[in-house]
Amino acid sequence: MKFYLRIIWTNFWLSFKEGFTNPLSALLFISGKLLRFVFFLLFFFFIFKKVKLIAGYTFNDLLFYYLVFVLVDSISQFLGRGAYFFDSLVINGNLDKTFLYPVNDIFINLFSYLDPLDLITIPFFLTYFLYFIHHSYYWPSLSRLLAFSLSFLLSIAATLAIYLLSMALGLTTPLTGELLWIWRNTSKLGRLPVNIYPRFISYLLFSLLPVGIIINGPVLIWQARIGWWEWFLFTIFEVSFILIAISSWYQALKHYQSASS
Amino acid sequence: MSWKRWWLIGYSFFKEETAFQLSFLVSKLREFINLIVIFLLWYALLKHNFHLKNYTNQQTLGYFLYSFVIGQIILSTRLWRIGDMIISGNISALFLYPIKMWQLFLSWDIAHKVINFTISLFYLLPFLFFFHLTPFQHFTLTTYIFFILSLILGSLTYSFIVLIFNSLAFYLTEMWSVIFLFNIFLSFFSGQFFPLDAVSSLLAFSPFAYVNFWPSRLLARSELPPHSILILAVGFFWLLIFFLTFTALWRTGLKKFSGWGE
Repeated sequence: MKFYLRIIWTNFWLSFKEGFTNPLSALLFISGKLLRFVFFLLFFFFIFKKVKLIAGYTFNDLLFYYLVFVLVDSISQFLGRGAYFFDSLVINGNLDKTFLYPVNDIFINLFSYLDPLDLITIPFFLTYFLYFIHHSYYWPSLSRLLAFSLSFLLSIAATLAIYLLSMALGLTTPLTGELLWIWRNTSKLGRLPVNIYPRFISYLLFSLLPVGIIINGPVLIWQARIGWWEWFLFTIFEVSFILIAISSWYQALKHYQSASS
Repeated sequence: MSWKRWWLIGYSFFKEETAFQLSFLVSKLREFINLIVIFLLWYALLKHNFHLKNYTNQQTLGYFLYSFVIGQIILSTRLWRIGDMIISGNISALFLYPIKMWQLFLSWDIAHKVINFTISLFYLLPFLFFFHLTPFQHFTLTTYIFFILSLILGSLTYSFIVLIFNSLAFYLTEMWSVIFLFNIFLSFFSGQFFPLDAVSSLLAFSPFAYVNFWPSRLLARSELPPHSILILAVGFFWLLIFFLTFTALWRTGLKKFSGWGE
């Protein structure tokens, strides 16, 4: 464990130094991320200036969905940014080198680049999230808070599992980058509660494309929109999904043909 | 430049874009998902009693659909590559090609726009069919002229904005963060989030509005906006400002340029 933590720290320190090689670029990128967040908030204000409720949800309800989405998205990007560079590793053959390291190959490839620029935006989002809950929203019961925390961590893990699945597919065809973007675009549907969409789409987002479970899941338990039985099913689903992703990676590795000579 | 050259450059662009067929198809699927996401968001809002000022529900849905297709035409450009070429020094190789650099980029861009527009028609058709949307309904000759002019104006305005940003590469060492920030600004102020005139008429006269909002509005509402001549005049004014800014930046940048080429 200590060994892995040291690797995480070394990777992070290297990423940090690389990320801030050009402070102006770093500043512009961080500003862009914060601006995107602000623009979406303005969009919410614009909508709720005209209506009081959307499908029975108040402004604060919807803002809570959005904040959870932003946190899950940002934290998983911070941890799994290395996945975006995976295609180039496969194409230039450097992936083979990672198999020679005395470290778990999923760990070294998925957490190869801990994005320091994301790490700077996360405290901002988290502070706003806590401020919002404390001043404008409500704290749930302790049991629901614990269930939310577990569900939130599982959402991040499940998002990383999707990154891993994309990498597994990327072992045979260099499509990881595109697949990650497909997930990121699809997950945007979770900025709002997925049951506001047409019923067919809503079903789809709770089954085949599990945005409803992964992104909305923690919110549903916080707002008590699902019972304990459903929460348990969601948890089982996410754990199974993570295990399937890990197993798919090892299956895909069996078919991997090195590009290096 | 002869037609054969235009054709050859366009054709080689197409071959280059589709060299990795699966990647190409998946990237198009990603765009389609983008369209679905924004369309579903507005469909859900409209279904739950949210209405935009000056737009019927059909027009709002149409606006976002057309805005996507217009984006495929206007925003398709290779000019973003110039910045990296300047930083790496590779642009000096382009100066030696037996074809003028701007002609090369123009032919690439035309090919890019044609390919993306053709593909976006396939995305568009199922939506038109299921939601009974009818673009070009009640279009008169004047509306067609305004539409074509707004498309040309939008493409040129966007190209010059992109060129201005890329000219910054003479003074910067990295471009990706500038592009990222600009795209976030553009998505908001060009009307990709919402029709600008439903929020503020002032926003509709910003230069970014010409990149997406005006042509999309025209298709969605099938009527000329009031003061259409003024709108075009302001658009051409912005275009002139961008053109002059770009030429000034480019000339001073070239004097400073010291790339070593390939």
